[in-house]
Amino acid sequence: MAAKTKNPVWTFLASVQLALLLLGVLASTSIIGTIIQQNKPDEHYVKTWGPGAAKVIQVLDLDDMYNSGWFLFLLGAFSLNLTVCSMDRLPGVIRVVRKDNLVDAPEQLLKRKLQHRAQVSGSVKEGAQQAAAWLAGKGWKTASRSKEGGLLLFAQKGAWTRYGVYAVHLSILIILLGAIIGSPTVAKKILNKPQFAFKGGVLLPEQRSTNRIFSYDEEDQSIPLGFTVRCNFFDIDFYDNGMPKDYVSGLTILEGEEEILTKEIEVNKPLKYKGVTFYQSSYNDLRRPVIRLKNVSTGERTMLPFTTNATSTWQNGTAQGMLKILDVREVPGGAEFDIWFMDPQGPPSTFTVNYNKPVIVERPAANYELKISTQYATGLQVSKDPGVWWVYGGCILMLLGLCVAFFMSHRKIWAYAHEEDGQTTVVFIGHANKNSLDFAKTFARLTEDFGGKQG
Amino acid sequence: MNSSQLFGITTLLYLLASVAYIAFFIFRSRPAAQVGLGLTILGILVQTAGLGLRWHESYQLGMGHAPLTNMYESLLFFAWCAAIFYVLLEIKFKLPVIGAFVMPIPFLTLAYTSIAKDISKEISPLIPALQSNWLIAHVITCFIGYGAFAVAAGLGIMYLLKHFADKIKLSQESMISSLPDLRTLDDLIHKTIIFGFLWLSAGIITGAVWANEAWGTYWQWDPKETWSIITWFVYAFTLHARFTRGWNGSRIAWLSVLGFVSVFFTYFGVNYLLAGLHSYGAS
Repeated sequence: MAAKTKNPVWTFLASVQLALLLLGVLASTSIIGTIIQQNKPDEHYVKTWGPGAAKVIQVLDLDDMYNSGWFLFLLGAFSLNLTVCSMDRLPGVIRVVRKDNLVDAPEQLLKRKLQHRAQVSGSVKEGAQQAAAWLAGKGWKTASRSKEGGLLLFAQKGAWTRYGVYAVHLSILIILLGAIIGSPTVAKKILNKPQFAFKGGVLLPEQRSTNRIFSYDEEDQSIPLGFTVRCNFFDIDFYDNGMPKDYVSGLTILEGEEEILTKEIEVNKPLKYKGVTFYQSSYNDLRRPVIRLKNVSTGERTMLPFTTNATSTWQNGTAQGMLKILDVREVPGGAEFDIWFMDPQGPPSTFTVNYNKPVIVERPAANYELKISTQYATGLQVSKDPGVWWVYGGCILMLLGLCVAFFMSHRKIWAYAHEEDGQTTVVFIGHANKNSLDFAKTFARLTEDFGGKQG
Repeated sequence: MNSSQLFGITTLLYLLASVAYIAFFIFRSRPAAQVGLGLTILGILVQTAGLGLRWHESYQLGMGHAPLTNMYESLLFFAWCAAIFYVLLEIKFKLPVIGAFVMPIPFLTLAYTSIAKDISKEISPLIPALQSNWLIAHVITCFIGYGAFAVAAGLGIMYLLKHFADKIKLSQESMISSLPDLRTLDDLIHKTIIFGFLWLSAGIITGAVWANEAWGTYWQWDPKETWSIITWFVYAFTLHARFTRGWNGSRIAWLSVLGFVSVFFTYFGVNYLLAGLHSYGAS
């Protein structure tokens, strides 16, 4: 190592001891927030933990500890430790990767444990050529240099794998950077641009549209989307046992009056537009009836307001027609409706439908499912996270880095051809920085048949 | 024949395998170890058939999802992963005595599923949040990691037994002396933790991607997420502790046990003791 003395602060920040301390502190303090429920109203803490403990919880921000100053400080210290530690060690690693391994003195190499000795006929030069050809035949391309008393050959593989662990360290920094880029708090308080990154939601009644959503942090604060989103319908499908199977919302994105994009979203199937993602998250029953029409073969849906005294016109995809509610009767557990229904082909249909029970209306042009049921509002979670690709990129880098750091190694082979007691001798020397047992086997397979005789 | 009968047979086979391995550990009889390996492999085959059958049964019930969706199914999968991981370990390192410490883990897991009253064995349909391809990727990656960590904890206990036996200078004739030597165990613990750490990282990442697809946020410090990162910190600590002086084999062995306690809490404690998004894992 270089003789220059390092700044003690730098040495401390670069130390593995600090890394161990921070990992230990992060692991143990993180437990607190899993026991004390986070982001509850103040009364919750007084009721659960008592007034004294509630005060401690407030003072130490334990009700929102993962966003608290002290926890962010720990994460910051962790990042600093990672950065300094990597910067401290990388120059040395680069030196090792770029090292000219032919400068090594053969006497030193011959002291290493992993070696194989073989005697060959011919001159030292011929022996070296033989060894070079042998190694090249097995995929190890050698360079050579004359040494006092012999010729030294060297080949290596996977020198770059020494960077694997630093790729893992870098990946953690990239993930944390992505988290900062995508943080609503940073967007609001530092960039002063809440629409840059946000997490919020909106409760949107069927057939209504909005161009603003509400931030989760401050619910009275609305964030402009820059476009309009409309809820065409909301629906719940159930399994036979009554468990909910799907929550579906039909959404349309509009720029001004122009319809840009229409998509049905479900839990796990969000809609993305201009960096903003709409997730199905909840729903609300508005407790007023509406008429729902669905084309059985295309699945296209239409919703009409419920009126008893007028004929309504409907449009479903390209098809259109009219319908009218002729009569409403109260029946046990609900209501039933007489309906008059028509479209351009064939005579009008009249039929009876029960509240919340769909009927199939068979028309020459298409079959429709008609249902009279309550109007819903769909609960959408709406978020914009410009940092997410940094996070994903960091995650991929982390997995690749872990594979390299754990399972790949820097392997070196030297071959030293020289004369021993009047006999040309080639000594192979091997070294791997990791998994040396596995490499010893590879090394044995590589060298054992060379020259025939064992030395 | 239905899948739960097959899991019953599997439980029995893992029990017999554990007994055979323990017999090998105590009496050092070679054939016992071979019987143990045979029974374990047979158990894995029967359990594989059982998992496949359960998957098939879910299609017959009109739901059609991989058997990885609730506490019962995840325990089955955990036992399966741990047993397979052990067999691969034995084939690679030829140390059947490890089986005496590891094979009881899948056996006890399966026995627990059949005794515990609060674990529903029914195949139930998937709630909307679970209907995602990330479910399979997430559960498989996590449980391969958990299986490896279970094995690492078993190895850690072996290390500590051997370590303390050496300390009190137990006679060479005792059964402890049939344990592999400390350096081999230490190396195996390290390798197993490395393997588990990679899969745990992949499990946390697939979970984050899934959460982002379902809820619009890849990380929200929910108790399950937090415990998974605590576990990750513990193993990251363990891996780095090896680089510094003073952290010798027995401390790493203790950490491998502590790490598994953290895994156990991530898996069970969060579901039963804390409230959170993973609540569906509790039924």
